[in-house]
Amino acid sequence: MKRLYSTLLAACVAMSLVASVFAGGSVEIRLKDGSRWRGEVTDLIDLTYVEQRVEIPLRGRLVKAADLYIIVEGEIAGEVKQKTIFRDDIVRMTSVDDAASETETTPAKRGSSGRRVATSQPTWDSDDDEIPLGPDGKPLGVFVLPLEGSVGTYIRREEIKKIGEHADTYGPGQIIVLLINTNGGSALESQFISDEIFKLRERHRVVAWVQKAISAGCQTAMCCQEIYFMTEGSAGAVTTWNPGSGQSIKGEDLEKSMEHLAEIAERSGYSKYIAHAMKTNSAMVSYDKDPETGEVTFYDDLSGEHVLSDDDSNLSFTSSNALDCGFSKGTADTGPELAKLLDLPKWHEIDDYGRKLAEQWQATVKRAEEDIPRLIARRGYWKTSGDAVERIGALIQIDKSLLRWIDRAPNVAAQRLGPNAREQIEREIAELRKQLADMRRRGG
Amino acid sequence: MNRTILACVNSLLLVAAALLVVPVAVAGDDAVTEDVLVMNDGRELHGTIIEERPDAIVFQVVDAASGIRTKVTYFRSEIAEIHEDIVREAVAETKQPTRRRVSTSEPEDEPVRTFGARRADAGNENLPSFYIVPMKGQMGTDVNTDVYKDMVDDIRDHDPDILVIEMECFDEADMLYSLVGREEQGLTDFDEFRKLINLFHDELGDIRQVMWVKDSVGVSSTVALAWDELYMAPQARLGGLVKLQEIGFEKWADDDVRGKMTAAFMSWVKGFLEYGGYSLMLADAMVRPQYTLSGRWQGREVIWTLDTDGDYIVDDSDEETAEFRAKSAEDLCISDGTVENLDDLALLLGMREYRVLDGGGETMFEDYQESWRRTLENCKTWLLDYEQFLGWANGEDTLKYLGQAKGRLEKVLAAIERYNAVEVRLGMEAGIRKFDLITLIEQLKERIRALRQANRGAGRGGGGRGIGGGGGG
Repeated sequence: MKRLYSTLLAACVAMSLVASVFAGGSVEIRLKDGSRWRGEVTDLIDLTYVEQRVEIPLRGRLVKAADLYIIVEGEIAGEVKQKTIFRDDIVRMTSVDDAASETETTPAKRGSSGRRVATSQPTWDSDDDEIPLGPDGKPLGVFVLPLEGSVGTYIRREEIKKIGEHADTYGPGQIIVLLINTNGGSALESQFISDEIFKLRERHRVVAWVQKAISAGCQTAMCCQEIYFMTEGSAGAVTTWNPGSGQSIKGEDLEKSMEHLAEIAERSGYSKYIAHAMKTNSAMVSYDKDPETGEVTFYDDLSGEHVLSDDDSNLSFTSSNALDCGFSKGTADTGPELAKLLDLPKWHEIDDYGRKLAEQWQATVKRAEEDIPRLIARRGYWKTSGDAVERIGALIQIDKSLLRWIDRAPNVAAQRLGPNAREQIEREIAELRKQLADMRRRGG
Repeated sequence: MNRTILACVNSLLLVAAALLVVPVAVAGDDAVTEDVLVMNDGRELHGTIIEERPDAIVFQVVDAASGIRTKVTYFRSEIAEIHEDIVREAVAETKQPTRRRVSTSEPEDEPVRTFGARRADAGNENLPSFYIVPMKGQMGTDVNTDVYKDMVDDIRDHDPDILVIEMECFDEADMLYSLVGREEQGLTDFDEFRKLINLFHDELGDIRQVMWVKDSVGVSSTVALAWDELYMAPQARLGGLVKLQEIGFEKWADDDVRGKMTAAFMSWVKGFLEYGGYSLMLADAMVRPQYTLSGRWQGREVIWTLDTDGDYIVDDSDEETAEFRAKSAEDLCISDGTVENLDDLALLLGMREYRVLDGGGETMFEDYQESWRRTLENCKTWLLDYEQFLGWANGEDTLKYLGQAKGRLEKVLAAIERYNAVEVRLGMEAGIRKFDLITLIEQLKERIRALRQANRGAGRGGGGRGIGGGGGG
């Protein structure tokens, strides 16, 4: 027991000495309920800690915050003393002299402070009692465009162009948040989207907020000026491949594709090595981070302290490694959290134009994806059923419906019916009409 | 020269003899005594002190379940008390409960508790309250967003202090033999599970949430690891993620396609661990058999590496995934503690008394589970009926049985629209999709319409024989 006391005593002395050296640093303390206290050493705090199973309140000044404990100087039993408290024993902790710090006591994960602004949960009308205004008197806020589903069907350049045109009506410099949740899709459409985003960037601030940005989705995110992740966010794996053959592009095509993504990366301020490692296994990327300045240096080999992708892996980020290396500018799960990162006074969606745009297109594609196969099945059935006049009438109606889908959702129709479906269907309708006319002529 | 050789041989023999003796004394399970470390966080560790350094103790522990011996280095700053050569039987008697916190100053005054906290009447509003949220059965069907969406309002109405999520989902009841069929194994619908987790973190994020793993083998383990406060039952498992290999992300022949699929998939899985604040290396080791896993302690934190160089080797095989039992999960700081019941849990959460709210969570879950499973069985019967009626639909009874066949399909369709779980399971077990049902119903409608039309025509022609009676020609 003696050796235990002497160890503890030595530890306490050491703590006191260290405390006097390290003062004034910013501190984050995770509390038992999952919330966090943020402030600085020297802050005046109110805290409650557990000792011998009893909750004890204490007001004092934070002297030190170490990994496992904090030291608080306050009045204890009538005397001003320093008290060492293990972080695990802290129940509550709030700043006394700074109301702002109090509000910083936000839940560690996601709290009731703001619902997640997920693609499926539009919250543009977020009980705004007061809309923040910029120096020019215009409302400070964002336009949100959810991009959910496969690129090329659910995600297209058209909606990006439209949200840009809509934002233009509010003047240049608007913030457009692309809320990305996709496993990727068409490489060709991805290229059109990239071009559209770069055009948009010339007039507005385009931000990617990533829930899942895989493959073409990641390329879309990389075109934006800033990328933010949700906690569960992932982004990467941009290898171009043919799902039919299961083969990735090789040789010169691969080289071109790597350089193309590298160009996008560099235009947005990311290392080209990141782009290369997202394209092919053999491209490696690692980085060093300066502990003082936080500056990150990337390498196209494994020489950096932090390895993102070795020579046998593709690169796909999670929120933590994306943040650490600077690929992500921050992690936000709710609108209010993102607003802070965007340096906005509060989360305010200027209107729901983008959300409605996405919602309408999503609904159209869903209907097309259900309806087109049904029409095809119905056409198959009618080719062998009913009397001739009835059959031809039904087939013409079905073909007309398919033509309407080709107009409304050309990308879905092309996937389901083939690239030249319009011409084939129009020809078939003409043929059916002729058959019908011939039959009537014979009948008449 | 010979003397020198003899001396060397003697020395070697002595060393060898010593080596033979030491392991028996150090780690023999049959040893009469053992050493006990009482940690600052209240844990009692039983084993053998191998080395005492000025700053640390090297301690050998034996996992009771697997019998695996592991050498662990603990810093003295983590240790509250050291008891050497404690008689094993005596230790065993005082082992209950193992989480008892021992005072460093006056241990003799500390009452020995042999029970957890006390559960009080649900109506006692002065006490902290628990709301139980079950996650039991098949992941993706029994456990999916639909049922919990309905629970959110009830939870809000009851305003609990702590949500206790009881996880009991296992794809294998036993490693060697299981009565559970493949159709009952967890689905790997990660988008659905993300929604599920987001529901808890977003809609109920202001309420403290505790994941209590009673057993988790399979995809449920990724979901469990999305909670940072995790406790396990004594016999609980946490693992079985090798099942995710069935998705086939590592089976692509093309190297770059395989790399892409693996990177994409693993970053999704790791997103769950990001929620819980666990090392992302755990995901690699728990999902991908080719990775080994070991850990070393840095203070109270475990530093994981995908090799066998750490102080504690969890998985040294490149053919198996890392799996955890309650004890190893607790020792390695994945679990916050091992609890047998709510009393134990409350105690570890720092409560002497607690109450369990009379919420509807458990009932809602059970009702939902019972209801969709009953509906699934009904659907199977209706599909058999459909086939039978279709077979009987000829001659004079054609219209009658086509109508009945259509009616059965419409019932199945309605069931699918009501329960996503039914749609999933019918797809798995009978290969039936919603689209197929809609198409079949439409075709039956067309046939029925055409038959009626023909009957009407025949009826008119034959002087009005009525519906169903005409035709035949």
